[in-house]
Amino acid sequence: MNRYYLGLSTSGHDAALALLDETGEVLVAESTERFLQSKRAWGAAPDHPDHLRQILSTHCEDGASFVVATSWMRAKAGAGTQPIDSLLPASEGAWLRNQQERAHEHAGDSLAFFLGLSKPAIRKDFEHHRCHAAFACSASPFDDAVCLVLDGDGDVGAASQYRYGDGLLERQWRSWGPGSLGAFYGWLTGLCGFEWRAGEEWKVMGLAAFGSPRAEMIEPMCSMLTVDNGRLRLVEPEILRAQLERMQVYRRKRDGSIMDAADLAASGQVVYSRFADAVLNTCAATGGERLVLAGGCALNSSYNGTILGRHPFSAVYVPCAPGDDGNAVGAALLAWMDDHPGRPLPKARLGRSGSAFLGSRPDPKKIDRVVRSSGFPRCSDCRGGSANAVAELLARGKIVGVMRGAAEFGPRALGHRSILADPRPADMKDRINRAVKGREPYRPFAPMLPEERTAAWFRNAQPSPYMSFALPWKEDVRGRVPAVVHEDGTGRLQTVAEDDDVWLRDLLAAFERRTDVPIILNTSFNVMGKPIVHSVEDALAVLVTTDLDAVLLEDILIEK
Amino acid sequence: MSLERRSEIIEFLRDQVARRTRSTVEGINNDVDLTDLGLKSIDVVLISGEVEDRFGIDVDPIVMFEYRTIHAVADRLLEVIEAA
Repeated sequence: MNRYYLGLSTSGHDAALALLDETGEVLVAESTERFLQSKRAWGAAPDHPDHLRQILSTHCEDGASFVVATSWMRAKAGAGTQPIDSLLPASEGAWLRNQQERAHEHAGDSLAFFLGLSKPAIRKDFEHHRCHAAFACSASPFDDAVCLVLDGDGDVGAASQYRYGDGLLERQWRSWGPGSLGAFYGWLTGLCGFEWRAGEEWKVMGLAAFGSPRAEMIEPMCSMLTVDNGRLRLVEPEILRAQLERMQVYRRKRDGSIMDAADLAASGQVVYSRFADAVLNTCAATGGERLVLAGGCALNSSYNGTILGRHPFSAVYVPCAPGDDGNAVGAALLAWMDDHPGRPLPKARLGRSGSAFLGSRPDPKKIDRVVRSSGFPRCSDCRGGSANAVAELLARGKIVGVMRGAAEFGPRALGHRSILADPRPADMKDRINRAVKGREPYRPFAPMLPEERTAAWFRNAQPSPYMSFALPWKEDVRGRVPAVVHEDGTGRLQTVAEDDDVWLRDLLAAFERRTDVPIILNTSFNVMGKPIVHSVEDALAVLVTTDLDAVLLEDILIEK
Repeated sequence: MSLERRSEIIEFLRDQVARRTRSTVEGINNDVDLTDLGLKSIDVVLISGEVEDRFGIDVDPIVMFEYRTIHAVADRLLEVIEAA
């Protein structure tokens, strides 16, 4: 009888599940938001019954046994440790804790139901930050590293540092009590007129490029937190209240232009960087160590791109899902280690780093049905030549949605659930924003390129397989790919290594043959406010409700 | 050794409580409920972190809330340290 490890992200947001087999290999990892098509899946169970049933029927045989693993030690409500309080209104903090309590307390119930049990036979709860660290270190290309978890929350505080070596994770310290970089950025997001609940921290990061940091904003924000030997602490309540009050004058008005908040976003990003720098300064015991960065704050790609060169690390790795969704894998890995004493943390097997392609595949029966009866007049089977066909369309200025292979795990579309376009026309960014994505015109699009070409196009070149780092483009090339150069001259690049993904490598090569540019614009296959497409129907809905020109479903190309 | 270590923990806790409550160490009763010494729940949390750093152990965040007095907390922490 095979035993499987079902990891569940039980934060109450960014719900996700992961399934490991007896060897510790990840069979599947997927966010609940994809299945439900509801952004961040607030309040949803990570083991949503219909989602779980689909996963079990694909990967597990009848009679298998399971271990359920959760990503928190206990429900936060009533635990007394509330790192995020004070920066958020009390009602929002209470709501957050209630979401977590519900997800955590009932985790595994649906599995038990399918197995005919009244409760999960074996359930294990793990420290939140250890889950982050386990996933990140398992997927990293390093055998030893310093792993820093910078988060919005945690079992006792919002930051922890681990030492990863000899296949083991050892916690070196953790912060206790209020003081959270994630909560700081959430508060900043609200002040800029965006919504942290919707995960709109991205919008602040993108907007920062249009503003100038201002001392009168930076100074009060810098006075809100202290960093003592890595530990983040909110200042005393009366001092904090005074600083929050001083910042209210800069709050973007409901009817104001987004650009009104550009200086605030830029100033907030500077303050974030100072706090993060102060934590990182305590991490490197000796020069030349490798850094693994995890936790929700590791999604700050603007900051991540500035670490190498300024801090004494020889390399930096951020996993494909550094936020709470990634904890589904982390919890499952820790449960596997519990069952296999003395064995090292399993390493991801694909490529040098862990593959991000851990999600579901498009249903081939549904693709067949589209070919036979959808009524699309231009539907062609491009088997063996789909990379060339897409490259040809892109070079002709077409915007193409791609749904191929296993879906990406984590927030980034990396070529399997992507909308692709030619980065050379200056108006391509506006065209995609207006005609397909429906999002704010200032927001940037990302480039993807072969890893070995990075240094020819970017300064501070480094591998960035999951778009975790925004790097400055070299000045002399910016004019060649204007649609993927952000206002501040950076690009949040995806590097595709030779052993990463054959189809993407073929696509980039085919596009270069036609255009002399080895770079393609890559944005997530969704419309504003919706998660990345999950089903074949989701993908076709975007095709027929927007000005997208074509969709590739595996090797079936559907053109308008 | 245990007695010495226990005294060390008690002294550390008394010092921490005095700092948090802005009082003198001499006036702290080791058998009085921590909240009656003037500690708020946030103080208890922060002291737990200090204990973890000082003694190099994993402190369960509910220890301070469950054991409630300096003596009782110290006895529990001693068990954890000796088991480590």
